[in-house]
Amino acid sequence: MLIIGSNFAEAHPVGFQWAMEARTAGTKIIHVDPRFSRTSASADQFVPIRPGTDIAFIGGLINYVLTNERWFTEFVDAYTNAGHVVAEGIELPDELDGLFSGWVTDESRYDTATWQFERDESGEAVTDPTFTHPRCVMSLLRRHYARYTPEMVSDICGIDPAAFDRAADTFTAASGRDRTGMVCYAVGLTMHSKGVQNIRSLGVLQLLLGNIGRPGGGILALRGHANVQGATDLPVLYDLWPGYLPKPTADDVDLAGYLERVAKPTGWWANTPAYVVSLLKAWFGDAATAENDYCFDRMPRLTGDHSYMVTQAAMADGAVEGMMVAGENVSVSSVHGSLQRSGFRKLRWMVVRDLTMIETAEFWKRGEEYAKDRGEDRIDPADVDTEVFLFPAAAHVEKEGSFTNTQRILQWKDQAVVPPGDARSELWFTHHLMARLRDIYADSTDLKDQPILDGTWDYEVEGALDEPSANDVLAEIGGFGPDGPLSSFGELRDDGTTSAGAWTHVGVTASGDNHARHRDGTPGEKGAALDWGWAWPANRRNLYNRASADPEGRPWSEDKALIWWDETGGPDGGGAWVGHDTPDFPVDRAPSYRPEPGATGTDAIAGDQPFLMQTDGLGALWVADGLRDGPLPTHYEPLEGVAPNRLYRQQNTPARTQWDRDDNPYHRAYDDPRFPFVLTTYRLTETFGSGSMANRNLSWLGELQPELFCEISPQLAELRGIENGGWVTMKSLRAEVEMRVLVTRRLVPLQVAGRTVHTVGLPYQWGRTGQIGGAAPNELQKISGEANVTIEECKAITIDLVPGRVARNLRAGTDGPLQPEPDGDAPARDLPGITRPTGRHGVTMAADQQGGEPDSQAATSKSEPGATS
Amino acid sequence: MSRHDQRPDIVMRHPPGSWQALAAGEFGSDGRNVDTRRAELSGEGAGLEAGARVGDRGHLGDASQTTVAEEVSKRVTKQSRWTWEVPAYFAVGGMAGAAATLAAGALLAGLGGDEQRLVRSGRVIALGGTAVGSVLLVADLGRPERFWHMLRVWRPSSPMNVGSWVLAGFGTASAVAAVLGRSRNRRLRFVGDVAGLTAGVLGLPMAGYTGVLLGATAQPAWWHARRWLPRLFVASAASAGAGALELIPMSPDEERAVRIFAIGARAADLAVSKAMVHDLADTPEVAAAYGNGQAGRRKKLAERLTAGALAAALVSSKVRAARPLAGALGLAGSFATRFAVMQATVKPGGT
Amino acid sequence: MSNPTPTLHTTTANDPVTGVARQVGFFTDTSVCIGCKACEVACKQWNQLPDDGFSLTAKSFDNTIDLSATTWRHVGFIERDEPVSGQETNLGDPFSWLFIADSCKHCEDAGCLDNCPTGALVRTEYDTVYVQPDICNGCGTCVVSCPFGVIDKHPTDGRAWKCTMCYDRLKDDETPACAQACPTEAIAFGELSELRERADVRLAELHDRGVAEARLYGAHDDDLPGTRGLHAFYLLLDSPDVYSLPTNPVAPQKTVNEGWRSMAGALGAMAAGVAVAMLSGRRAR
Ligand SMILES: Nc1nc2c(c(=O)[nH]1)N[C@H]1C(S)=C(S)[C@@H](COP(=O)(O)OP(=O)(O)OC[C@H]3O[C@@H](n4cnc5c(=O)[nH]c(N)nc54)[C@H](O)[C@@H]3O)O[C@H]1N2
Ligand SMILES: Nc1nc2c(c(=O)[nH]1)N[C@H]1C(S)=C(S)[C@@H](COP(=O)(O)OP(=O)(O)OC[C@H]3O[C@@H](n4cnc5c(=O)[nH]c(N)nc54)[C@H](O)[C@@H]3O)O[C@H]1N2
Ligand code: SF4
Ligand code: SF4
Ligand code: SF4
Ligand code: SF4
Ligand code: SF4
Ligand SMILES: [Mo]
Repeated sequence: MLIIGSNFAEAHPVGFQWAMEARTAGTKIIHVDPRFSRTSASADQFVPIRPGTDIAFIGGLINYVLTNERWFTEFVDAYTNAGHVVAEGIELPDELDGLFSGWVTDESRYDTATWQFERDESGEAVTDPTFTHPRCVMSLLRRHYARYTPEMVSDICGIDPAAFDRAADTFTAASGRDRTGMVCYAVGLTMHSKGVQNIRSLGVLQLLLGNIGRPGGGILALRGHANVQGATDLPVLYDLWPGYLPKPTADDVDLAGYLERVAKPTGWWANTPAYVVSLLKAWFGDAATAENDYCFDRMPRLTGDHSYMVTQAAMADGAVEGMMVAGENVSVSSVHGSLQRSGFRKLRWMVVRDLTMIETAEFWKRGEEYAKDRGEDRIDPADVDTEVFLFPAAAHVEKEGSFTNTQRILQWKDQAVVPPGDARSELWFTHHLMARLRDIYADSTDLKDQPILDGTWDYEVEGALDEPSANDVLAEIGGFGPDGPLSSFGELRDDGTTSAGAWTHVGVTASGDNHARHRDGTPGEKGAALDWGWAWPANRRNLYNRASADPEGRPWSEDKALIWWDETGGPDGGGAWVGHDTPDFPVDRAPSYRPEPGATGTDAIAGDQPFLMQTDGLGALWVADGLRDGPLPTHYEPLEGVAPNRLYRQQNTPARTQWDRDDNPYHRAYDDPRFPFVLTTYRLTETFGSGSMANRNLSWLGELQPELFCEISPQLAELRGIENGGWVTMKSLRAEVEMRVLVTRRLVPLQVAGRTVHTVGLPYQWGRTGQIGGAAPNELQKISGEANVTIEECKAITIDLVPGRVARNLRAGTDGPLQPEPDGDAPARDLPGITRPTGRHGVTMAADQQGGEPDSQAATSKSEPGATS
Repeated sequence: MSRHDQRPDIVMRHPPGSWQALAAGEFGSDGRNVDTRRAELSGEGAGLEAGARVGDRGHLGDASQTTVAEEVSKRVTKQSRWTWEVPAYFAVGGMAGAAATLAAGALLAGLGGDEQRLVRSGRVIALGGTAVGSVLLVADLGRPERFWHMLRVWRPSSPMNVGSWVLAGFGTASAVAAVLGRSRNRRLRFVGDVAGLTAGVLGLPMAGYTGVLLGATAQPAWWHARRWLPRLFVASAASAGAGALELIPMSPDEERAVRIFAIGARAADLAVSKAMVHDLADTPEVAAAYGNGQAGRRKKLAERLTAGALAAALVSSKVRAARPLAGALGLAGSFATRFAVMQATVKPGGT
Repeated sequence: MSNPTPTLHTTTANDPVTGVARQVGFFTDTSVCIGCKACEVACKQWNQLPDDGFSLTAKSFDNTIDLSATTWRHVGFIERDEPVSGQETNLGDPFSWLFIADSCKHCEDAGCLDNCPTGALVRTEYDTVYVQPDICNGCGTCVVSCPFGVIDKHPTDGRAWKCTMCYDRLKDDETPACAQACPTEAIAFGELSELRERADVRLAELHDRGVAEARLYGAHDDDLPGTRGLHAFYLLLDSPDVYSLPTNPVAPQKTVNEGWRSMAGALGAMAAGVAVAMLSGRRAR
């Protein structure tokens, strides 16, 4: 088991029991992390790595597989696009000094024409099963990863080549018919300017090793909050509808046009029309008819990127009217605190729903720039005009509902106690808010008010508090057909006869029974305990489990059997997929099935092509479409790096989002004595999230980690004259934050191509509200976005660390960059990212105000199921 | 004027059980995170007060550069939570015991004629010592009102329990002896004398059990000295008992008896003290516990005082004024001994 | 507040429900402990113990430092320059990070119990050691009598407190809170005899894997003759003193007779001294 970019034991201790059980049974655990954590203490091998260099490490593993012929030949041959030939004109970063072919400099984006597969006259992809064609994916992989040698890994990541070899040997041996290996990751890999490509690297590695869709294999995202998976599914992402359907944009004039854009002709997504129509039926009921496009017009359209950092910049420009915050403490957990507060101060109103008083609701008086005793140009809380409404929220034990865990299993919970005082659940708040709005607009005939009036809103309310029934909501999500509750998403139609709040969840209320409430499972039983809760889709526990059987449908080995083809199975004895899990494949599709030419939907997927969600049913070693920053992962330095890119001149990932504004300065000069150290951030077991519901308000947790501190190596302590337990001031270009320090051998300076790199570790979960404190470390961060999903890069920035308490409490959000640029021109280190200059945030209102042009960025973010937050 | 000025300040009203009260940390603020208005406090530790331990934990100064292993290993056994009352009781109780024994001896030997000054003052000292000692002992209890729980059970494995019974018997006997022993009624006086003799017998364990008690703990400094502490304490008690009597003028034969006893006791005290240090040399940490720091300083003081008391007692047959001086020094030496021993603790533990 | 008051048992009683003798305890396997402190918090939560105050000690991740009247389960963190067999750390010099979730050992020969003058400390029908809060008068004897430094007197409450092995939960046939909360079953709760077998198996397993330094602490009577078997015993990855456990703990009452004997000798001397003094006093006449 390879744990990389996750502190499994500390952040997921309950899940880690299974890792410990596996280890007791003989599984080897390798932990790759910038610091030796409690996870490392429970691992067989710890490999220290420089933050932000995981693509180089995983690339090294891929190279190891390729040069030592460690890949699982039969799996790769049959189940991946390794043999596909890529279009003429494809060029790799080594040839273009760090870019793939197709970079359009003026637009700061890639044209993906040269990434596509070569097709013959009939449109079939050209393949070379011998892997000898110079442009076949396998050849490109070999070429691309050839430079990721142990020595190169050492020069980039600071990993000793011998240690790398041992790790590579151990992990790549977990492959083949009898063995599998899994990779666990979390936000240590995602919160980077290359977050998506970090995970993509793992995809390439695991496909090569044949570790996908098989028991004991996989790439496991250890998802965050108890219900973050459920939140993503249904969803809280600004650009998605439930079930990962893309939201319509302003260009999607009608339903047909929208479906044309988002549905794929082959593979799973061919069913999109049925899902979309059923979703609209769930939302609008009888009002949704074929004639009115199922009320498609009632739905809001995306006009740009409305993700949080974009909005954050817009707020700072005064372009946002108000903000509602529920169940999140952005002041602490989101990056660049002073920029946020400067934006909040320009809002007219803010609504906060939370369990306790949090920094976000107190932004007008908490935050370093309010300090009265420092300088005259500090801010007086009396001058803050934003009106803040704080609503008490009911906690999880005070309401019923479900949690969806990291394995997509919905687990229902009942209400244990009645919420105190005025505290109410989210459901209550939303329901009664909508009910009041409907009252207000009841007599309106104005078209713009119709969405409010047309929506179905008939949930039962129960009990003394008029609590809407969560069961009703689940039933709506689970879906109805003419004959009552649906049992499988296969029953969804695009003709308006079915409804479902999320196609993924159809079946959770089959036969009117709440399957999420089921609690039958035998611990230690082989298989998937299918009666414990309910996993979407279709109660499948292991996605792509068709790959657990060989092309002929037999388990790769007895020990690794999950599902298999039973010749005489099925109701009519015509053969069926059977086994320990719900098959992730058409149940009656024989391994020998070959699609007719021109077949559509899943009919176009052959019986030995396990990856049903892909248009060609194959595991994508090469990604032709869907990524903005390259068809293969390749190493770039973090935006704020301490070393030059060893591979080519292109320093940073090209297609990232960045905001070049005075209140968001970037430090982009390696070998700069002003900010010589790398900072990475993380959690502690004893703290949770922003700390507001755990350590800072619960004294039993507070006493365990009572104060903000950072962790440094004894060598760094010596270098800077820092004493264990003393005060230090951490400085970035955005802020200076004082904290205590823990000097520990668990951090180690790394040798990176002749440089000594010191990593500083900082748990980010402190703030100024509550009983224990310290400044919120995210004050130090910048806003900058990953190319595909705009995730912030908070796991690798540059800082300085000096002994003593803070001297100047300056903040970039109010004071601009905290240090002048060094003398002379800072080296131009790379091509520009997709910048969003001041006043342009993808928010139409702001663009209007500034009289700017429409944003060049298309608003289609590629959030994938399983992206971690 | 900003909008802010027109708005009333945020008013936080906290009706019982309200969310705002929770938010303001009004309950749960006692470090237990339980809203007492919503939940019953019935856990075992529900009555304990929060935050009372802060000062007890390792703090920054000693943290720098020490490894955790070193740091924590100092804490294998706990320091005693006894305060000054306990060593003071040890001294007072020991003094009382020895005085009672001397008084009983004098009674049997028929010293002091009709006046019986030694017998009587011995009994009074015994009674006074018990009274003061008991107050000290009770004062040190965490729950003084439950002092009598000491006599709830008979637990021979516990010197503290045995000692409590001894103290109870000794105190009763001393009281009876002190009161009835002066009665004009012959029968009552007889009862008083029997009580006096009983107190004399119980005075022996009174003088010594505290040494056994300390030796029967897991504190390395005491446990390693378990064969010496009873001897030291008996000698010290004898010196103090004699010392208390030396403060009171009596007949020459009584004074002589007390003086001879005092000389013997003090010589024994000094000898035991030296022998103990010598014996503990095998375990240097333990020897150091008695030799260094405040314990060491007190021990030295005790030895000097006792030696002074010995010298004074020796000359007191010639120089009368030296007699009360010897008594005072003897008492002081005994107190110093108990406080020294109480202070002795081994840092890096392990028994 | 109501506290169950068990009666004094000198031997194991029969389980009131099943009629079978129950001897329960913990086997704490530090080799699978992940240092998550769930046990420490669960103990506080169940027993409604208050926090110990907020102060950063800068001693690894340990900010509660030791067992006390308000911390009955404590997780220790040991960063040291020694390797654990089979683990590769790549941190330059050898290194390892050990964790231990410590609590009262519920000793077979319990110093605290035998020295308690009030009978507040008793052995329960589960063969555990329990302080009865309604009896304890805070004399503090137990504090200095525990060879492991477990039990402590609360400064304001005045009484002595320590792990009860969740006596109230045992009564309801529930697993103690700490063991229940432990995600990795590092704290295994159960019948003592079973736990001892389990410990032997686990030890053999680790030895087979080359973790030669693994050892049991207090699992069997003869391991620690000074206390005999601990009812909460450990699997350790180094010598006990590394974990701040005494290498050779002795329940002090084992040697109490030495004290009584030397006292008797001294008292004999004192009695003789009295006699001599009295006689010489008489002679003076
Ligand atoms: N106790 C506790 N548990 C939690 C949470 C909590 O707040 N407290 N939060 C929950 C949430 S919301 C989430 S998202 C998850 C997150 O779970 P995790 O991702 O496991 O948690 P983190 O501690 O943020 O970071 C993971 C590790 O990444 C390492 N790291 C940092 N930079 C790099 C890098 O560049 N490369 C590599 N390889 N490693 C790096 C850090 O040192 C850290 O050990 O945890 C969940 N569980
Ligand atoms: N530097 C750095 N920054 C990070 C990260 C990092 O690794 N490094 N991790 C990031 C990640 S992955 C995450 S998920 C975020 C976490 O950041 P947040 O989500 O902001 O953190 P939480 O403290 O979990 O916030 C949840 C809030 O919801 C409240 N709450 C709990 N239950 C309910 C409820 O039922 N209803 C309502 N209305 N409120 C409720 C809690 O009281 C709490 O204040 O932090 C992010 N920030
Ligand atoms: S906090 Fe909840 S979700 Fe996270 S590990 Fe603990 S039990 Fe699991
Ligand atoms: S460990 Fe200490 S407190 Fe616990 S039973 Fe043993 S002697 Fe008593
Ligand atoms: S403090 Fe309480 S439990 Fe401890 S010995 Fe005294 S009476 Fe017994
Ligand atoms: S058994 Fe109960 S009292 Fe003892 S440590 Fe565990 S939770 Fe605390
Ligand atoms: S709960 Fe278990 S794993 Fe966690 S610290 Fe306690 S003993 Fe260790
Ligand atoms: Mo998260």
